Amino acid sequence: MNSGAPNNRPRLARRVRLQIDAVSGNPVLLHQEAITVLNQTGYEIVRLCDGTRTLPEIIQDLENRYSAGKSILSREVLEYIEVINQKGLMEWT
Amino acid sequence: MDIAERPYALLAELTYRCPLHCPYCSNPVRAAESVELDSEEWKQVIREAGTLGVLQVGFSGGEPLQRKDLEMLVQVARETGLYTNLITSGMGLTERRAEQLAATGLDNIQLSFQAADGELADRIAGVRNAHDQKLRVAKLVQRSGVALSLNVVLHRFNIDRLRQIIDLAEQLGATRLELANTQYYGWANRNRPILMPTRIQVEAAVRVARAERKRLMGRIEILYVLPDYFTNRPKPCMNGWGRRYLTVNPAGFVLPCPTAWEIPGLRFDRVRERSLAWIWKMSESFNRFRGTEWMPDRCRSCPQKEIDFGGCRCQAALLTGDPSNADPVCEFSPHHRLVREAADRRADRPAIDSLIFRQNP
Repeated sequence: MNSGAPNNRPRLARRVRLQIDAVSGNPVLLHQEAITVLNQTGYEIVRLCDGTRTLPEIIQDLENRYSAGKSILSREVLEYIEVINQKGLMEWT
Repeated sequence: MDIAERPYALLAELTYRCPLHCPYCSNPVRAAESVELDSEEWKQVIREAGTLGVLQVGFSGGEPLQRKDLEMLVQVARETGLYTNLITSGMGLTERRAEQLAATGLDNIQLSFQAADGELADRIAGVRNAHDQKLRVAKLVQRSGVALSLNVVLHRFNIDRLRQIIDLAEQLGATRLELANTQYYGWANRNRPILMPTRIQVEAAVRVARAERKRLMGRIEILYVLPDYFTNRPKPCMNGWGRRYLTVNPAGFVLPCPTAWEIPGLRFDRVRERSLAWIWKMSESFNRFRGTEWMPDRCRSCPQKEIDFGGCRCQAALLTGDPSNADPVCEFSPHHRLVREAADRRADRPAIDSLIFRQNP
């Protein structure tokens, strides 16, 4: 991961907007000439990437709400954030 | 409504006025008329687009900064919940306007460059010191906090210096770089024999773009638009006619694609007389090439028909005279040799000083 050290806090880059699409009700990431439709889990993850939480804190927050095993959840969350990061849609503070 | 059954992006061409004279301009050689929609009419267009399901609006032109109401229109678009992008040459962007645009919530500024070195860039733009102005504008955008992306149209005279262009994007702090090979529509088509790169140039550029995309992954999104004359399969133009995009031109005509104006025999409706929703769903122009029914037999039996949608209608019209023909870029088109011959032409390439510069209203 580019800047995903445990103490770094991810947030969506300035050029990205997270929004609920009024027509479909789906959460979407809007960026230049592109729309990424998120599923509910993706939305929960991205919503927590607001620049105030570290990766372990994001995982902890999700763990409190979902019953998946810690190692599976942790890996999936990190992978998900990395996919968005690779697209250049994430910033790290 | 399915995401594909509604438009999701609006291109708002606010004006054809432009201080630059780029010879690859794809706007129509002759515009419909010079009377532009007023502020109230544009506000209405933006709100109707939001109701119709549009999620993104690009403010374009010509040079959209020529309109004094740009900031207000961006604000209306943001209030409507649209993602907003300003597509600009940078000419006319002052510190004050950059700050105002940032305050309205503008999401992105796409700034065009003609080349990485000033002398060539100014020569292509047809305006002295345009490049220096753009460098200043990039810094203003950075300071304003609005995200910056760069767009460079590629052709025979700058395609060999791709690496320098990518360096420039890095230096200026761009988060996205669009390397768009010239599309030969509108004014650009007049300059086709002069602007067309050689196959060797194109192949070298693809290699550079691929390597740089990998190197910069996660930092700068690099988009390389293939020059379709050098391929065998057509591009999925507009992701299908009347499927995802609409363009409103300066006079208020609504087009399925920005260059559709020059397709002979098509009649376009305008926002002064009809609602955007009616035009999207019911108009003759939007339904003319929707789906696959309009296609020639060869296309209708092609497994690619839902992938490339038969390619580009404007290109079919321009090169074959009939917009319902297959896009001649397709190797199965009976007109494919028109494209191939233009791409492989070696001798007699006219020099840079024979370029015909864009004349603007």
